[in-house]
Amino acid sequence: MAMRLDHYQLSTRNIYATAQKLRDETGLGFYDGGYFTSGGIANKIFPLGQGCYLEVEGVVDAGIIDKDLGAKVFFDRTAEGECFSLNGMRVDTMEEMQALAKRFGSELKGGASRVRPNGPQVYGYSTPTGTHAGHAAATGEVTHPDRAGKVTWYYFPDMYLHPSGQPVFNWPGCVEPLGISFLEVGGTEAEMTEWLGVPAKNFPYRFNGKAQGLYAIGVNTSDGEKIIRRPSRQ
Amino acid sequence: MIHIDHVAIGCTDLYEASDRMRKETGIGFYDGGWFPPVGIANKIFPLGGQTYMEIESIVNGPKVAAMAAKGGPGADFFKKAMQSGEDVFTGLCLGVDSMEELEDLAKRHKSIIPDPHLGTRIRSSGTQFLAYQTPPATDCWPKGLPNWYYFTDITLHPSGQPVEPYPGLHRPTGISYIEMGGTEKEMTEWLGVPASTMPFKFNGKTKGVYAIAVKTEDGPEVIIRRKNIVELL
Repeated sequence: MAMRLDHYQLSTRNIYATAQKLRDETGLGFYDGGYFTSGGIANKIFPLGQGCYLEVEGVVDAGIIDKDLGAKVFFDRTAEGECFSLNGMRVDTMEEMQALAKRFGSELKGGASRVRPNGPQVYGYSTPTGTHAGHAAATGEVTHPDRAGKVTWYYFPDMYLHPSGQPVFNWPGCVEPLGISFLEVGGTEAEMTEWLGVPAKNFPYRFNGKAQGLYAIGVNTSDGEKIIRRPSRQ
Repeated sequence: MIHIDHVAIGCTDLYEASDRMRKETGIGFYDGGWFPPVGIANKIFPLGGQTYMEIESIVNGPKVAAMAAKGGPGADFFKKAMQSGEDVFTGLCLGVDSMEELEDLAKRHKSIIPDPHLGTRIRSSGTQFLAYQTPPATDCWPKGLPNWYYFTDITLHPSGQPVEPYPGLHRPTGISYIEMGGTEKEMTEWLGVPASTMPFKFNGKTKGVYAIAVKTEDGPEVIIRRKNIVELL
């Protein structure tokens, strides 16, 4: 099974302010990713190079927080500030996704999701459920405490429209992203290998032994390595 | 797996021709950038389904003239294609999904895979992402034959980039057919797989591209018909 690094989620109360701040901090550029038709969520996307990206994501429909449990979880987990909330990997085919879903005894979620501001909806599929522990509990999905903070897999049928390949807004002094240099995650290499089903050493993971989740992203750029470090609340 | 990748149109003035094409079809475009070694630039029309159309013209006349004077491969072809006084289909480009497939095609056609750094377009953003081809376009296009491409990073494929804002654009959802010269049998022989697996219609005329039809999400099928450059050579 071909497995690749794909994307990461940085949850925040204010996607505009966080995106601006992250650009100032790293020199990485972003573009407007659009919104999700359910949950009142929207994002800004930072291409990281080599088919990877970071989504700065948050609730943009304040009125929905009391009505939509998913939105409420998104809102609540940012009560103390920005946090990493997703570590996504990617496979190349639907057959591989189905195999993963079967392995975890999980459903395959997906279809049309995010609405881009300037183009067609993004089609994507993910599995397994439960890696967002708080979201799963709040929305009544079957909870799997053992999955909290772990990798979620994605499959995008239209790779030529992959979020990592879209152009960023003009901004003075933006650096060119050249791919992930490392990902600091909780747990151990043995645990990650067991979860992935392939050796974790095939990927640039660094393990800190803490609770499962994503803690830092290293990005190679035309201006050297940039490190994005945030608390993990997945 | 062989699939349609892109179609090329040559013209006198890429700015004027692209604007005219957009008005005629309702399909949007963006600035594709330029090919430093050959003095040509293009505008790109994403057509949906990982396909696109490029409209090209000469932006560095002296360079193209010098290349043609030296007998540079394809320079005379591009000069004729882009100075014929009207838009012409210049080439059809197929895609494969791996370098191994491209190498097999090069071997089958006893051809080469040129160094992509020499011929790959530099985008308006200043970035360059590599596209390998075989046989070289300069060998195939003047004969009205398609060649093959492999893009190293499909997430940056030209078909997936956003177009310039413009009122009333249709959203293209893929090519419904391409009208080609020659016959299905000849194309099958060239491709090495049944031509019937691709959306071709054959008119039996001189080989080359005569028309492409594009599906749109919210509008009619758009048919783009131009002259086939091979008929003008």
